[in-house]
Amino acid sequence: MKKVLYYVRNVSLFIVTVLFIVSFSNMLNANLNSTNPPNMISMYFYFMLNLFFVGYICIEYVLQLKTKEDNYFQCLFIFMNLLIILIYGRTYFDNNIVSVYLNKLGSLQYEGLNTLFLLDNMIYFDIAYVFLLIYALVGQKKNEKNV
Amino acid sequence: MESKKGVRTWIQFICIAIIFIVGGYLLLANLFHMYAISEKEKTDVFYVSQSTKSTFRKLQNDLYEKNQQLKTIDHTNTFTTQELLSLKNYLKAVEDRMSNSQCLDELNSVNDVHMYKYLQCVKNMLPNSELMESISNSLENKKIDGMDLEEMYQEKIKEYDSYAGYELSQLQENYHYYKATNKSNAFINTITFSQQYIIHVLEDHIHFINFLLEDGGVM
Repeated sequence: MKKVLYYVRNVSLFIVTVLFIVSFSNMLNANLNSTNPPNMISMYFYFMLNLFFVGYICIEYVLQLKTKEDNYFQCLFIFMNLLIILIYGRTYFDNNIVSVYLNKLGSLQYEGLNTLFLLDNMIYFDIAYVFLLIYALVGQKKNEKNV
Repeated sequence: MESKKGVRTWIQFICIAIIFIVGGYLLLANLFHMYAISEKEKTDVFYVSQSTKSTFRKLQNDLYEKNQQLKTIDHTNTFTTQELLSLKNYLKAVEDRMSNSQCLDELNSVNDVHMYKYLQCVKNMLPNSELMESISNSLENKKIDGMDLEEMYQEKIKEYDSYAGYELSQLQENYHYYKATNKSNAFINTITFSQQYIIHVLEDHIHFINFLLEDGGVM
């Protein structure tokens, strides 16, 4: 079970990272042509956190950290990643609202993977990832003390 | 040591709680939002009235003829040759944009997306904001028959640009029509208003050309 959760977590993070890279590059590309680009701080912050977690997984594997076998951590991580995948999916496929449909409207200000709607949700991803990070670090510290 | 372990456990508990609160909020907000906007899409076809179409075509022809007349003068009492040239170019740009637009064709479906495309198309019938700003600056302190041209330009023409920009941003943020009790009627009213507005913009440009022609001694 622990291994299953571990692999599912890694796969979900991989999918989320790929989705992020695609949307991030589209948004940066769109902003180059935009006269009024949206505030992308939450996106850059998410970029930083994503990079960190990718690095963390590598370190976790090399150093055999305790979070590798912490089911709660895996479940939380999987929960957040699935939610992020859901929102990306919804952002891409929901054609009902203008801010989602913008990438198909040709010469408009914002192009790419539905910039505005995704950015609105990005800050929540950031908050969740920060607390996931705190959980991992505190759990690590706690387990080190137990040894 | 025990108390430190207790504190760490509490921190972890708080982290789990916050993650579930944030995640739960995202899930519920998205589900609610999808439910709120997923009303049945009415496939209302909105027909532009024949009188609106014929008025628009007539004004387009008038604008073309006035621009042709304007070509015959090099300067006026109020504007220098260079200034008049930039005004001529601007008016030609307006004529080209108005003639290329498909906006007064019928609208196949009255919903958020088609509405956005329609309003964007109507907004594009005006020259871009930078050009309008430069024209507005060139009309500063210019008066013909006691009328402040810059003020007239701001009120009659630039105002539509900011109105259209406002409507588009409202649609982008899904606020404007979200609470309307009859969304289709709200859309149709906006479309009708924007069509009338663009006709007035055409008329005002023609009046402006008449001012220039009079000022240049042609009329």
